[in-house]
Amino acid sequence: MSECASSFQMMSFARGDLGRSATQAIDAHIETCQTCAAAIAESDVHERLVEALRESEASRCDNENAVAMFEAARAAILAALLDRS
Amino acid sequence: MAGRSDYQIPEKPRPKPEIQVRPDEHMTIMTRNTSLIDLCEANDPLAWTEFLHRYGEMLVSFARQVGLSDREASDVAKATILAFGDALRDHNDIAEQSRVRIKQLLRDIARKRVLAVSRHDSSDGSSSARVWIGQAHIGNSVREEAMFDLEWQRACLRRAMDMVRAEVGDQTMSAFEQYVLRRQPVGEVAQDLNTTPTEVYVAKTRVLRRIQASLVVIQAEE
Repeated sequence: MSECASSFQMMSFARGDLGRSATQAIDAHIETCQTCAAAIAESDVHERLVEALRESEASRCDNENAVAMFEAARAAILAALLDRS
Repeated sequence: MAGRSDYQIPEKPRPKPEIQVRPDEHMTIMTRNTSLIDLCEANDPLAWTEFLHRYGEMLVSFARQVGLSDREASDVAKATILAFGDALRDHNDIAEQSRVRIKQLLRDIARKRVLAVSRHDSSDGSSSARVWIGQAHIGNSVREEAMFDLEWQRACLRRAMDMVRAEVGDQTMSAFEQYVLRRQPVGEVAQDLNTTPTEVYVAKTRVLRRIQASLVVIQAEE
């Protein structure tokens, strides 16, 4: 695909709604077209997923110390699980 | 640490299995939940390592969410996993059922462990204000289930990220993390990674599409 896709096609691409050949064409096109690459990346198609990912990362930071304590005990937990079986 | 009275069985001598993997080694295969439980039931060290990686952090996060301290949360996660292991070993019917409802079993065990820790804190007068506030959620099954569901969803997201990380290059993943998760400006990310803004945009789109596809696979297991 040498020409830019329509907005509808680009949003369908972002949602994963296009067929294989159309997907491949846009995938190749955005490697060289910053306008289309930006339009798709900046669209709100994945907004909820992005927010969920950010919240998940924030939660990971909040619980860093507790998780580190668990990780420190992981070898002992694994040994206990195997020992009990 | 709370006792494990729920699933105690008479002790009998067992041969001590050798641990074949480093404790910090993460099983790279992305096994379906059902297969993972089958392998855990067969006492496969790699499967248990993957189980700890997959569910340990979410159990810790759940216990923190309901108000427990870092240490208590770590202990609750540990006790929950050990109790799950006992349930898998001791009750064939539970092992069979667990193939379709790991989430429910882990949630039930974790809630009992949280309750045990909070009761212990209350009885010895050591409850901190934070724990006391957290106890507003403890025993509230609707609230606890919502918190557990949220942490479960986050664990699914992290697993999807792990799957995608194994599929795409480091540069793509770094671009995604800086631009999307840390909200750095696209130009700054491109400069940091010695690439173009277009590549950064493409990285975002590709990683998100792959995460979505991975989530479909993960959710289909449940």
